[in-house]
Amino acid sequence: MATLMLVMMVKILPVIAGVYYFGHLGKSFRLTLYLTAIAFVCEIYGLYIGRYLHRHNSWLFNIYMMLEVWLAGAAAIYLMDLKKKWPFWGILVLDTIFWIINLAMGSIFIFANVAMVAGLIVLTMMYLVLLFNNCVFKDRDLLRQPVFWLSLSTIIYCACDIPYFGMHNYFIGHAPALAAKMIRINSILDIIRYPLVAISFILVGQQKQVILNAA
Amino acid sequence: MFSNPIVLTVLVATLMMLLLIAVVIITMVLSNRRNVQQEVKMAQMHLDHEKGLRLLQDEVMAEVARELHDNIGQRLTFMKLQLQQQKAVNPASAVSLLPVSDMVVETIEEVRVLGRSLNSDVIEKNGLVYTLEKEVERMRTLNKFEVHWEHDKEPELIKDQKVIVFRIFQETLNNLLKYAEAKNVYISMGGGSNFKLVMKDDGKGFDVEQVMSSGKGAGLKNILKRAELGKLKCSIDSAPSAQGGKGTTFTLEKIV
Repeated sequence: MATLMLVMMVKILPVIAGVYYFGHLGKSFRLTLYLTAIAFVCEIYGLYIGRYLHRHNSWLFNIYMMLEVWLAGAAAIYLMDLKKKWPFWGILVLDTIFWIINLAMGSIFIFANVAMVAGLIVLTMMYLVLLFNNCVFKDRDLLRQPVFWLSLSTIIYCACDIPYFGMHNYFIGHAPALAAKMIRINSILDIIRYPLVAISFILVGQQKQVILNAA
Repeated sequence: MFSNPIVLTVLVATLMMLLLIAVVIITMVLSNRRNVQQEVKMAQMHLDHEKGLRLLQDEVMAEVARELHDNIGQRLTFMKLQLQQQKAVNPASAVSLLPVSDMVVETIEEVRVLGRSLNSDVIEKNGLVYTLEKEVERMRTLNKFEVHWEHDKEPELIKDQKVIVFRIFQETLNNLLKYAEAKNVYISMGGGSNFKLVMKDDGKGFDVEQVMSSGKGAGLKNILKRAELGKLKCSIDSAPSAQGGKGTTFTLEKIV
């Protein structure tokens, strides 16, 4: 419960930072803010359904995973400094098709962990492209770039969650007690991810203010 | 929990993933830091080069000023003396020589003023306040606009900074003369350690961003570059009168 509370507190951080600097955020960072707010609401609602109503909440996270892929993916695509962006939109569409097939083969009430892993791979790949495209080859201080912190947060979360979500349904089916413990991997990654997103929002806000002051 | 091989595999895979990301990110940060340092060095070299060019430009201007004073000024003075002698020898020609004589006197004065404005040594010798005052006087004689000039004591600036302030002041006054269509120009300069030069006019104003981004803003860019060389902060606040602008305010101050 303590970990859960910590996750909640950490998830609200970027929402506060994002709302505070909302006027300074561009399209991509606004999408990330919406995603963070949705994640926070889903977490609370999922908890309410699962722990207090004692019902399945997998359907909620099945829907959330697709929202996450589209919002985070679109944010990355808008930030990319590339001429041809259609392959990335194509990847998002393919991932959606894969998600539909995965749900159709199972049920909306069974967590679509294979689609989740696919989504995590897609996001890891997109944010790696973004990181190399926007940060590595530019001669600006990497640690002062909001895109760097945003990419880092997504890459750490998505890449490190792949092994856990890959085995998620196995744990649920074969060792539910273990599943309850293993979910801490996701919680720890949440605790790493969301402060980094908050840093990126703060950097966007501060840099915009510096530019306004200079003008 | 850790005795379960699947759990162990998941944990090891997660940690390996984290380690891989850490290695990649650390490598990227280090490489980026090297790039940034190199970029700073390049910018410093560029700045030094610009500084060298400005010094050379100042030396050339000083040489031209010396030449104006020692050569052309002397010749004109000689001409003036010859004219006076001619008038003394032949008083009948005095009337016909009067316009020529007046023109020579005016030209001598103009050459003297021009020489002084080109020579930056004058600033070191007489101080920035005196030099700017002379420029203000020169502007007043043109009767293009009313100049309101107020100043404090001599500002605490090094010689290079004083020269840069003077050149920027000249350039800004020239811009005012050419484009502002102002009736009044208010110039104030804070002295001592609180150096701040403010030049405000009630002219037609202009769109700073548009001028800077177009090819027309060479003079303004020159001013900003000079200010950067002198470690001075320069800001221009203006808007075209069509957009409700009320002239232009130009501020130059020392970076603390």
